Formats: sequence, C-alpha cells, structure tokens
Amino acid sequence: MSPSIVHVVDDDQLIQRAMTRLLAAAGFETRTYTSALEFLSAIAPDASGCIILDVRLPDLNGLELQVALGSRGVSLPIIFLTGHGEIPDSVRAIQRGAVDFLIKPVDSNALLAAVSRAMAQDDAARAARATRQALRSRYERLTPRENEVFLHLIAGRLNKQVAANLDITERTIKLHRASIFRKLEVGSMAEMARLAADLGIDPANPATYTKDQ
Amino acid sequence: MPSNVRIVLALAALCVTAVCDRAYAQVRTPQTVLTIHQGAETFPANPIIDAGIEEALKSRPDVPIDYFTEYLESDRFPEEAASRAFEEYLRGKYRGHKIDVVIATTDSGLGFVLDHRAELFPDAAIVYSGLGVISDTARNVGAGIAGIRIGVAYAETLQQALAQNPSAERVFVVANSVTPQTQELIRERFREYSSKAALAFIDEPTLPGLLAAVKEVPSRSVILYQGHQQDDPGHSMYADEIAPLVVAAARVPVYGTSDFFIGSGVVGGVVRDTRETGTRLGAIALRILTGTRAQDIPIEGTRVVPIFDWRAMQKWGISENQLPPGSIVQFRGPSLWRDYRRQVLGVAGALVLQSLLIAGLLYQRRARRRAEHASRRNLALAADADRRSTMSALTGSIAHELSQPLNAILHNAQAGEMLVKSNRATLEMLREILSDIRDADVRATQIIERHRTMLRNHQMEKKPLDIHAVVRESLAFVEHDTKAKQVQVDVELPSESCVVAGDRVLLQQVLVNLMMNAIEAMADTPVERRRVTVRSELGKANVAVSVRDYGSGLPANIDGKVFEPFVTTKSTGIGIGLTIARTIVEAHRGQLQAHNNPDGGATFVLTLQCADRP
Repeated sequence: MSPSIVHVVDDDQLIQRAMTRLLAAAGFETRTYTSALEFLSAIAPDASGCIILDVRLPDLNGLELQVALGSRGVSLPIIFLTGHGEIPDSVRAIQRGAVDFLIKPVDSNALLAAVSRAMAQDDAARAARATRQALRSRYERLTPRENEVFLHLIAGRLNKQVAANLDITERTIKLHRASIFRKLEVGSMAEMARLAADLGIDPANPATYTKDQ
Repeated sequence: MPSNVRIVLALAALCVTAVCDRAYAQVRTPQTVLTIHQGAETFPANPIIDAGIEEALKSRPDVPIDYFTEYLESDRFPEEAASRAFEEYLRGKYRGHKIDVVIATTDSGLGFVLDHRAELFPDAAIVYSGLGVISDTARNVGAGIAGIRIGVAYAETLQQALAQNPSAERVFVVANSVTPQTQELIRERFREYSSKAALAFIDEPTLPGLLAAVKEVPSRSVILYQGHQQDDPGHSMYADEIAPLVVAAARVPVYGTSDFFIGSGVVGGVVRDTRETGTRLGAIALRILTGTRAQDIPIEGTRVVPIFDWRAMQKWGISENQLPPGSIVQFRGPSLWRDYRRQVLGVAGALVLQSLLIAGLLYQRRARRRAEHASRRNLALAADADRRSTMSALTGSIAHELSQPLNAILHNAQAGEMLVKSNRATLEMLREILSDIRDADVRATQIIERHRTMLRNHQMEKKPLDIHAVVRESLAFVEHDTKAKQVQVDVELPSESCVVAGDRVLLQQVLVNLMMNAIEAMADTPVERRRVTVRSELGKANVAVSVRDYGSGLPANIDGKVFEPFVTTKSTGIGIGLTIARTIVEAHRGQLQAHNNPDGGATFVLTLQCADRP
C-alpha cells in the first residue's frame, strides 16, 4: 500500500511553499504540482492521500479534474480552495461528493483539519475498498450455478422454492448452499445477506450489480 | 440790308472794340504793387510777409502785376533822415512808373507812405497792416485806404503763462524798443493786465544787461518776451535772435508774443500768423486791382492763435490739457505725426487691428484653455468614476489576490509556530519561513498600492513611460480575473519598446478596461477558446497596442457606436467605459479603434505616438 500524501496543486509558488511547510510541520507528506495537468500526468492510480486544489488554476476546473481522475481510477478526496463568493458552478455541481471547500484566506488550522478529514476519509474509503475487494474475491469464487442459488437465497426464498424455480432437487440446493457458505466464509443466512448488502447487490434487482463496481 | 441789322452790327463792333481795348490794356500794362517794409530785408518777418503777399497776388494769373518791395529801415537809422533819403530814393527809382497799390506792413511804414503820398503815390490806393486806426475821412482821400489791424494778444499770452504755471507769483516782461513811444505803447497794454499779476519790466537796453537780468529772475516766476530792440552797435540782433538767448539764460518758463519766437525755446504764446498777415494784405491789394474801391473794403483784425512748443512743454511739465482750446502744438516729439500723418495713421491702424486680432486670439486661447481645463477636469472626474467602477468590478479579484500573500504569511507563521512548539525547528527552516513571510508582505503591499493608485482621484500628468511596462502593469490587474474565468492570456511584446508621453494611471485604466471587456466578452465562449491576445507593434513613430478576444465580437447594431456613451452590450454597467477610454486616449493625442476579427471576437487597438522615435 502506497503512503498517504497531500497533493498540493497551486501555481503560486509562495502559497505552495507555505502550505507544504504547514502540512509538513503537521506531519503530512506533501507533493507539489503547479498545474492540474501536471498533477494528472504524475498521479498513480493507487495513490492515497488527498488533493489541495486552487480553483483558479487556468487549465482545468474542479469537475474536469474529478472526471479525469475517475477515468484514471483515482478517487482521492479534493479540498478546493476558492475565493469568497466565487465558487464556480462546475465546482458547486460536485459539492455533494467527497470533497471539501475552503474559502480563502484559509485559516491554517482549518486547512489542517480539512486535510486530516480528507486523509481519514481516504483511509476509510480505502479500507472499505479493501473490504469490498476481499468480499468480492470470495464472491467471485462462486460458480454460475452457485451464484444463481445465492441470488435466490438472499432474496429470501426457501430451499424448495429455489429448487422448483431452478428445476432441480431440494437436496442439490442444500449442497450448493453448503458450498456457497464455505466459499463466502459465512456461517448463516443472515451473515450472507449482510455480505450481499456490502457488495451492493440488490436482492430484488440483482442485475444492477456489475463485477466492475 | 435792313437798317435795324446795320445798327446791331455797329453795336457789336463797338462792343468788340471796347472789350479788346480793355484786354489789350491789361496785357500790355501790368499794374504795379509796391510794398514798404519797416525793417531791413533780413528782418525775419519781411520775407514771410512778402511770400504771403505774392502768393495772394499770383492767385489770379489773368491779372498781371509787377511787384516790388522796399525797406524803410527806420529801426536801424534815425527815422527822420532815413525817411528823407528813402523818399528821394523812391522818387528817382520809380519815376515814370505808375504805382497802383502801396502796401505798408507796419505803422511806421504807413506813416512814411501818408507823409509822402502826394509826391510819390498820388494815384495809388494804400493797404496797410498795423496797430493804428485810420479815420473814415482819411480812408476816403484819393484812391482810398484799406487794411488790417494787427491784433496783439499780450494779455492772452500773459493769461496762458499764469494758467500753465499756477505757482508763478511774478511776471517779468522783456519789452524793449528803441522808440520810446512804441515801448510806452506796449507797456501800456501790459499794465492793463497788472491787476491780475505782479508785473515787472526788465529795463536793460543792452543784450548782456538783459541776459544778466534774466538770469536773476527768481523761481516761481515766468518771463514774457515781447521783444528786445537794442541799439548796441556791436550787437545788432533782431528780437527773434535774442529770444533763444533769453530762454537759455532763464531758469523759469519764457513765453513769447510773436510767432517768430516759437521754436526758440519759449513755451508759446497767443500770437498772430505772420504769413497769414501777408496773404491777407495781398488779397486786399488784389481786390483793389480788380475793381473794388479801397474804402469799400472793411478793416478787420488779424486772427491770433495759441501756439505752443511741445519740447518746452515737456521741459516745464505742462500737459496738453492745460492748453486753451484750438491750440497748435509744434515740434511734437519726433515729428513723425506731422511729417507722416498718413503713414502713421496707417501703421497705427494696422497696429490697432493687429492688437485687436491678438487680443481676440488671446481671448480665444484663454477661452479654449478654460474649456480645455474644464474638459480635462471633467475627463479626470469621469475617469476617476470609471476607474472606481472598474476597480469595484475587480474587488473580488483584489480580495482574492490579496488572500494569496495573506494566506502564505498565515501558513508560514503557523508552520513556524508548530515547528518551534515541537522542537523540530532548525534555524535554516525558520530563516526560510521568515524570508517567505517578507516576500508575501511585499507582494501584498504592491497589490494594495496598485489599487490605491487606481482608486485615488487623479489629475492627468504626462511623463515619459515605457509602454510595455504599462501593458504589463495592466495585465497584473486582470491576472486574477483571467485565471478565475479560465481565460488564457497571450502576451506578445517585442523586446524593443517605445517611450510615450503619458499618464500611467489613465493609460492603465484604458488597457484594464479593454482587457476586462475582452474577458467579459468571452463569458459564454467555450473554455478552450477563451483567449486574450495582448500585443504591441512598433511603427515608425508610433506604437499600436492591441487587445484581441475570441468572444462574440461587436454586435452589428452597435458596431461603430461602441465608443459612444451609454452604448453597452453588458447587463451591468452604463456603457461609458469605452467613451472615457477613447477620451483618455485622445487626450494623449492617440487613437482608439475597434474592429471584429474575421475569425471571431473583437480587437481594440490603441495607438500612441512614440516620444523617442522620429
């Protein structure tokens, strides 16, 4: 796992150095970029940490950057630095996302708090991603037939209903269920249902789940 | 032939004969006029009177006249003996000549003529000028007597002398005559006036005596010079020759009673015109010669005129408004006026015209200056207001711009504090922090200073400026705004710049205005096309700074009116920014023009004269 780094994207050298210095004093590792494009070309998909971005960077706005990061598989929290009363619409549109807005001039403590928050958020997100990844790798051990049985079971159907539905014997269902429990490393139906929920599988509409998610 | 016709012819023949006889007589026998002067030929008045008489006589070319002059010289020789010798001389000289008119120019001349009339001029009419009065009985004797009475204006001259010298308490009179009778006569005339001033006669028969006495005349006096006849054999001088000597000796103003003294240094006097006396005598003689009886011609007085010498007036501080009405002032300054009156009038007229023209032009210039001053003031006021409004539009950027260095200072300080608290601060780290804080502070100060200049009231003041420096400073104003609005700014300034005579603040105002217009014009332009190009191009003697955008361009309906006030495409603002911009540029003798680009957007071009290029 790569270390958590605060990515400072600002073309103002003076402010860049000041923020770097502040963050370093607070114990954060930083990396600086003078433009959004420079940052995009340097960032690794598995990067962790957060981004501090001045919205006035001329090359890309916040939304564009976020889209570009997504397409690169990067999902770092972004702290936007904006001037008072001039939050661009494009930024406003992503306000509900995993981002923070700080209006300049930014109080140093507020900045550090925002960075800590973003770091925690990234940690949590990465932890969640790791958990989900583990669940998914377990889930992916299921054979197509076992997956079919699994989807029926988490929808709350009884063994004989599943057997009738799939036109197989109830005993065969029981064998599948035992295999599914083992592969998913669960000990009960309730445990399996929570795992399904964690994987984001809607039992009423399982087709919405894609393995890429 | 009818008898009546014969009678007419006879009459005609008679008439012709008579006319021819008369004409023949006139042509063949000119009439004779003889003038008898009292003094010698050199006596100053004589040639002048003669010239006057001759001028009058010659005014009728159809009347042939023989004119002779003789000189009694009774002033130089004992009257009786001179008179007798003169009579004999004339009788011999003019034997066989018929004298038609005898002119006597003085009283003594008239006396001689009357004494010897029977022997010398039995048929002649007599014309005279003098003080004497002839009775009507005497006038009718023989061919008769006509003439003019010479006016003496001693009293008037005296009056002028006292009026022009108010401080004068005494009047010293120089009136010396070789003939006691004449002298008494003259003095009698002065005495008539003695009640009005303290009169004293200088009784010095010799010239040295006279001049010594004149020298002694105290101040607060005037001298009245009537004349000085003297019989000193060594000093035979006429009165007019003595006049300048008297003036030179005197320490007080001298007035004269004869026109001959004017010019000798006397201030002036009320005098008769000698030449005029001559012409009047001649005119009377002519009337007699052409048929008028002498006794029918009324005896009139001569005219006296106040004549003054400008130079003497200057010397004694007498101004022209102290002179009586109708005065003649002679020897005025350089006698330009007298000699070249027409030219002087012409030149003076031209000068007056020129002065009026100059005054008019000066007035116009002053009015224009006032107007210019007022318009400069108005421009300054409008420019101030526009700048403030521009700056207020930039307020957000200003705040943001300032927030950068302020934030840098804050973060640095906080970082330093944290490092110190946790004992991790090295001297090198603290030095860097402090250095950055100082840099940030300098930047903040610059931003404030820049905007404060723009917000202050400002009077136009032209100084030599590097135009590229002004462009770069203007770019600094909008830098923040261009970033926020994601406008790319291309700056193309050649390395060679030019110096313009201009006002830094006002030119910045123009450029900031153009740049902000360019940014606003691209509000709806896709981000990748949002671009402002600022470039300068040096001409032979000027520099053109252009601001080009890639926005919507100038709408067709306001194209060409873009610099007119209250024409705007913006939802905010009243549309005077460009009007003021152009006014500012014109106050710099430059030009501001706008056009749409073929490939979209508008370009504004500011052209200014380079001060450092030919």
